Amino acid sequence: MCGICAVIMENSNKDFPIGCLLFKMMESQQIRAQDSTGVAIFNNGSNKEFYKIDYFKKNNGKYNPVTEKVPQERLDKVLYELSQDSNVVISSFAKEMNLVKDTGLVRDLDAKYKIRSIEGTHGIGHLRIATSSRVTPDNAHPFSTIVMPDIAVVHNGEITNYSKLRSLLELQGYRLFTRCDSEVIAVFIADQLLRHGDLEKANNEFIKKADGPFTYIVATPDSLALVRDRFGARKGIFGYNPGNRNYPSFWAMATDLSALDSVGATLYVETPQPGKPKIFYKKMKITTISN
Amino acid sequence: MNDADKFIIRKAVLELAKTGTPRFTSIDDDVRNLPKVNSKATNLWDYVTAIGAQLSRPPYDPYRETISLNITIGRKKSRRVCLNIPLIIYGNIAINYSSLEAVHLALNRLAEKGNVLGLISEIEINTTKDNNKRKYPLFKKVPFYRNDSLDEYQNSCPEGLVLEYKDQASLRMLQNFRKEFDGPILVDVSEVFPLYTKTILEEGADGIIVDTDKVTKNERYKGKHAIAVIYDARNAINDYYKGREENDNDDNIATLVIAGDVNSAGKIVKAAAVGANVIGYSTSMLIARSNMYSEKPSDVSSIADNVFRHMLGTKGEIKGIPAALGYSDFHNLSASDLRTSSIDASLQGNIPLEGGDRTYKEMVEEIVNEYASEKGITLNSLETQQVLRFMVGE
Repeated sequence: MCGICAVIMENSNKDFPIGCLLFKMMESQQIRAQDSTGVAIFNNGSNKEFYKIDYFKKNNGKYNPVTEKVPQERLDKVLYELSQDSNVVISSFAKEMNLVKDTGLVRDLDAKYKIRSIEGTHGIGHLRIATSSRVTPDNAHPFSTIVMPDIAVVHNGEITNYSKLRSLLELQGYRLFTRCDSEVIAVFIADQLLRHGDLEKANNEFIKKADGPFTYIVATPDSLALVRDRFGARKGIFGYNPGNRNYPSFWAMATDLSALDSVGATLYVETPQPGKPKIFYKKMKITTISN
Repeated sequence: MNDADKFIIRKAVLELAKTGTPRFTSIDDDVRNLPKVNSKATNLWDYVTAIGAQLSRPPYDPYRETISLNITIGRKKSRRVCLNIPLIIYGNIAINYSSLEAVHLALNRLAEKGNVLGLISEIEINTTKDNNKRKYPLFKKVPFYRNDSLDEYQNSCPEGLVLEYKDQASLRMLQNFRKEFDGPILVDVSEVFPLYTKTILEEGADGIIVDTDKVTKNERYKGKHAIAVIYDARNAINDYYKGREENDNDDNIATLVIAGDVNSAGKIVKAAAVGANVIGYSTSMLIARSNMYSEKPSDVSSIADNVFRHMLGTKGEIKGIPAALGYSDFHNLSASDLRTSSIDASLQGNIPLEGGDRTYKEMVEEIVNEYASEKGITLNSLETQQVLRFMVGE
């Protein structure tokens, strides 16, 4: 019974304290899950010259977070070396994205990483209660991938054919760092985006291939997608806050209605149809795929 | 919430409990489609939709879910054969014509009820009568070392062909048939699958057939479990696809047909979990099993009836396990769904050990990593694999 949430500003030109909105939404859903938590926030003003690689270095059962800023020319070498080290779990590969995650409650994450002060144009958040893999910082959401930068996924539910999808991806040469089924979503979507660059098509492919009850939100540098399985076995809703003189309008997505209430996104409240991804692009172009 | 609102919500929930039939839509859709009931319709719509979204469907229920057993054979879209049950009956020369005729009748009856299975047969079945026409896909077995043209085998309009790999001559035969025949071609590679799977797939075969009985008699597999054969055969196919563009869609991946002693629902499920796509079910075994309790074992119609019921029963049994595991597709089973108490079986089939979710190899790997971490030794993945192979005695 994890909790997921996301926010995307209607006017994407300016950064806004997205972390503050995500914090509120996560606090309101904390009752759903208490094991670990994390956010990924996309920032317009990020340093575009370097890639940021966050990883956990395992040492005597402890997970030490490390961040490296890597220029383009060294990127392949660094990624290769890190992925060869069995004690390294890469948690984020980004240019525009700030991804932080850890075990504990959302207030613990805020105390450690000051998530409420992180600004950006859109972001996703997650509260985890472990069902399959262990409660460790590397198994917390959001999940990123080294297949391509700036992809993050939060997920509620279960990908029951995780093993099969994982082995198909490994067959293609992709490296997965954890035993968590949610990581498969990130790698699968990234693989699809590399093939055709179409987020809607990528999500449709995943819905076709994945089995089990799930709702997930995938974030890219210019969009968010809220996706439910074919049977609609896990919930997911979105709503709109029209904004006012003090703050801009935005769309919010969450597992529970209480999260939308907490940030005033109570207009046009809807749920995406099962098996049909709802895509929110920056500049607010909304599309739904029909089969 | 007023009474009208409550009624709408309640109706949507109760319908789920009352129908008792598999659902294809979510509660949300039902709520969405309810008529507008009062003047507050616009607001109520948002409200009901939001409330509907708060209702999760009950957990996956093995007795209500629709489990797909469908499988397609063929790597190109234009020439695929679809089966509704992942079984192919293979006729051997040892059985008599009347037994094959009984299987033919049973397969026709199954196909009429939407349960299409395949048949691999060398013997022709006389299907000239209208009511006796074949309604299931036939994979015509082509005898080896005969230089007949493909035309001869196309008389019975087979949907697929089965060749047997013997040597380089069979490769030439495959090349020639591939040029002319549009349907799927399966090649029985059994004992030589570790050596020739890649070559055969490169020449355009749509899948391989591996008989575990034959392979386990081979020196290389002596003392090994059939599950190790299936696991290795799947890896042989995977090796062919490594780094190829073709593997972007697993529908296109070559089919692995496993024959031999896989002749019960339990074994079928295990074989599928380790990597088999289709199970070859021997005709003689099928007749024997379906005739076990028959009073008239020699009567064609009686045998057909028994085979029909046996296959329907098998279908029901093999659906149970994936359903209980939360799958909606039988072919999503994987080795991680199995558990074994034997270290050997865990190593041979990459199956997790009982009481946990890791294979023996994974457990040893974790110990190696922890040791390296404690001692400050940096091991890359190649070195880790070398240590592992030494530790598990591979």
